[in-house]
Amino acid sequence: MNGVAPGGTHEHNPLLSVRDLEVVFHTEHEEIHAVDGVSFDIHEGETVGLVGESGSGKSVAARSILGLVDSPGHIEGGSIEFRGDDLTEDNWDAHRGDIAIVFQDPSSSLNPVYTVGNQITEALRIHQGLRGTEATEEAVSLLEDVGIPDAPRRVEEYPHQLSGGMQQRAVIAMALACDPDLLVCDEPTTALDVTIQAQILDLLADLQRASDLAILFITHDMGVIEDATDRVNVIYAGEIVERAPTGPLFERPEHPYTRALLKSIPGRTEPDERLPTIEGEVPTPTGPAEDCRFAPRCPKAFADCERTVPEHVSVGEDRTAACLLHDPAYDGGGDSA
Amino acid sequence: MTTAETPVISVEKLKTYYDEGGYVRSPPPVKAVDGVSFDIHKGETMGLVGESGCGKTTLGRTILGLNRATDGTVTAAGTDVTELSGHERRRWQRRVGMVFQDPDESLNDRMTVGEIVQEPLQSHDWPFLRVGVEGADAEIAGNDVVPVGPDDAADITVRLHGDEAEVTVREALPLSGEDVNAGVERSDGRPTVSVAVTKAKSEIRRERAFGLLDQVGLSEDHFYRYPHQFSGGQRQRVGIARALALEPDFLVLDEPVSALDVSVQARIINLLEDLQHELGLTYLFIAHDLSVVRHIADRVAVMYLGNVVELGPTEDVYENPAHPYTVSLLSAIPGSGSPWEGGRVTLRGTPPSPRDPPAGCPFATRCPAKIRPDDWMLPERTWRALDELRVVFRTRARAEGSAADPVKRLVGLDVAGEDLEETVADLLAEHDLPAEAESVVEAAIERARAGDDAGAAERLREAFGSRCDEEHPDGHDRGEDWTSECLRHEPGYEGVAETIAAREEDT
Repeated sequence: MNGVAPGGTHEHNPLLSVRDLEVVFHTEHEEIHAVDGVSFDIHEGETVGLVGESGSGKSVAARSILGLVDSPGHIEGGSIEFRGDDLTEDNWDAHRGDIAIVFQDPSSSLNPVYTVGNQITEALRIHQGLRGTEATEEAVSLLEDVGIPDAPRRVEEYPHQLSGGMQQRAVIAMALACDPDLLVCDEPTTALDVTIQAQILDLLADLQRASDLAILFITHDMGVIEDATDRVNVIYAGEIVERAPTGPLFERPEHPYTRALLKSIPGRTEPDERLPTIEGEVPTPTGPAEDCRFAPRCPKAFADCERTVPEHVSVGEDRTAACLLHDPAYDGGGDSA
Repeated sequence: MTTAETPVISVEKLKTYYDEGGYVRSPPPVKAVDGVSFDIHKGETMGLVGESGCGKTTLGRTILGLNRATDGTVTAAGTDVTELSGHERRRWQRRVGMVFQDPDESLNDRMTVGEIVQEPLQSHDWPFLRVGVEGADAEIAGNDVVPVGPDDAADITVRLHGDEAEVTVREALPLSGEDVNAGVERSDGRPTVSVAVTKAKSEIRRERAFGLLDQVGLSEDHFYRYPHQFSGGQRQRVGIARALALEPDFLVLDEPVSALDVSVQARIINLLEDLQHELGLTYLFIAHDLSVVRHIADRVAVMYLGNVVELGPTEDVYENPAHPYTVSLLSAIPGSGSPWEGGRVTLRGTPPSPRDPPAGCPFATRCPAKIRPDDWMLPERTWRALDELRVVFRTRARAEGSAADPVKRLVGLDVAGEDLEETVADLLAEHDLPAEAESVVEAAIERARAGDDAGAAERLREAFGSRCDEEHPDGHDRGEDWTSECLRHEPGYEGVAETIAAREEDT
């Protein structure tokens, strides 16, 4: 890693430390390296973003942190250290409740035949040993914490009686019921309208301020990343290609992929201009990396890009990019910026 | 945008209600579109934005005739298209097209892409092979060909030079002059032109499909493949090719890029812009992504709960939003994509049910710039708490409640009491209400306890409501071709932006 830690400079040990994670899906015809050597850190009270297009492996990376990768997928390498314990050595049960996840579609996370209250009190019983009235009261107070008005009544309602935004709040309340240290949010606002998305982003920020919660935020939406995160990891075809503090990343993206991605977002260019595009498709990584996976689509690729796996090199304070343009060992055709 | 020319489509007070009229007792209808008026001009892109459930898709579908209008008109070329049926309706459907949000659901997985693109052609028996004769008033004869009508362009034009017939074919058709044989017969003065097309209609359709695929950036070998073999972006291209098949001049694009990744989205947006220039298309572009609309639309209509609350040139509206809802929407765009300079205006709650929209301004229940009545001097925080309490009662009135509630009530058990106290306490605990206001709240709670949640909400509205709760605002001109429906635009009120800024500070 050329001496640059994948989590920026921090005094304390990270809460979660993912190193060289490999998740491989074995199908009949091929093996897909969905997550291919991903490393990142999350510290207490911090929000880290994992941003990429569909098929980039960001959701698989998130799920592997909770041990939720289903067959035919397997974690085949690397480590996921939570408070110093490597979860991949089957330590998930020891930390069950320390890490919670919120998925994109709230209706699929809620059981339609139980009331919202039932589902929260179940989590409270399992993770905090609360029962009866005590559990119900705690459920009501959690629903209030996530901004559901009239919580004493809503706790009695079934998921279908809540709107999409309210359902997602209920799911977040469920996640909070196990009093987690780390909340993994997998596209938590993608299914929601922009005004409701704003409510949920405000809510997550409030919760974090109140409890020093660490959040891993997975999304494809650069705008959400910009608003909600402290640091960002940009993932492409199973590999992290750039990591940086959020502000500097948006001011000056260093990896050609990050740059192209930001440019192709409408609303950031003049309305009369054509949108800059990235030609080609995100490749499916069917084997170990042998080259830069972005090279075929990269406007700045040169010969070495097709035979070298780029290492992360420092491209500024607290930030790295995996691109030969920034690697002093290669002369990538002059000016890299 | 010049408004002098006749609009391609003119929508007047259009209403679309669902679930109307039952046999015994029916719930009030869903007012999906509730009195919308605007014009769309040739060659422009009209953006239509709003949250899910605001009626934007229904509006698009009603304009095309896919949903039945409850009231109002959609005028195109002098005809109200909501009233069309039979042959005239089919004709209208050929002039318009629709691209749907989810290409997975809108493409039949059992048909090849070639079949999908040819389906509208077959369904309308395209090509029509309309024959026009120049140089003489002539009778037309021949299989499959028809004389051109007054409103149509001729597919085949026959120019008569004595007994010689010269044939030209409309460029858009995959047909050449050599595929058409024309001859002239004269009897009793009026000539008869007999036209024979040697290429089968099915062959012409096939070639048209190849041409369409090429136009949307797909290649010939895609013709034989099935939708599931394509990426999301390619499937959307197939959807666009299908919409273009019958050479429409107006397209409703319903969230065409919402399901796509940004890099793919950019390519589809560029394609849509290219096609618009090449073919002179007019678009109604429906989206919830405000950045996409800013990029592609010339004018934008902002929709809330079945109403268009603001309509104007895109850049003007984005730079200087007039309606409080537009302000909230733009300020909610995450990241630096938001054109709003001030802080994020987070709206409380969700839009009211379209079955039971507010009587006055549709946005009154959530408005950050709502006019407050002069009778009370309360801090903004307290106003919001009272608003929220009213929403709680309204929500309760709408909910079915537990099946046991009527029984409990019958035996004198307190149904609403226990949790109600707690909710009210939570909402109002930190607020100092004047004694008079306190007694209004008490009276409302009393009604709710008696099971009359609607009455409780009504009591609060009577005391704390304002003009916004009673009057549906008219459109106010904000500039050329730019209107906004908000009572605050009337003289004597503080402006929307100033009010929002002051109140956000206050809370």
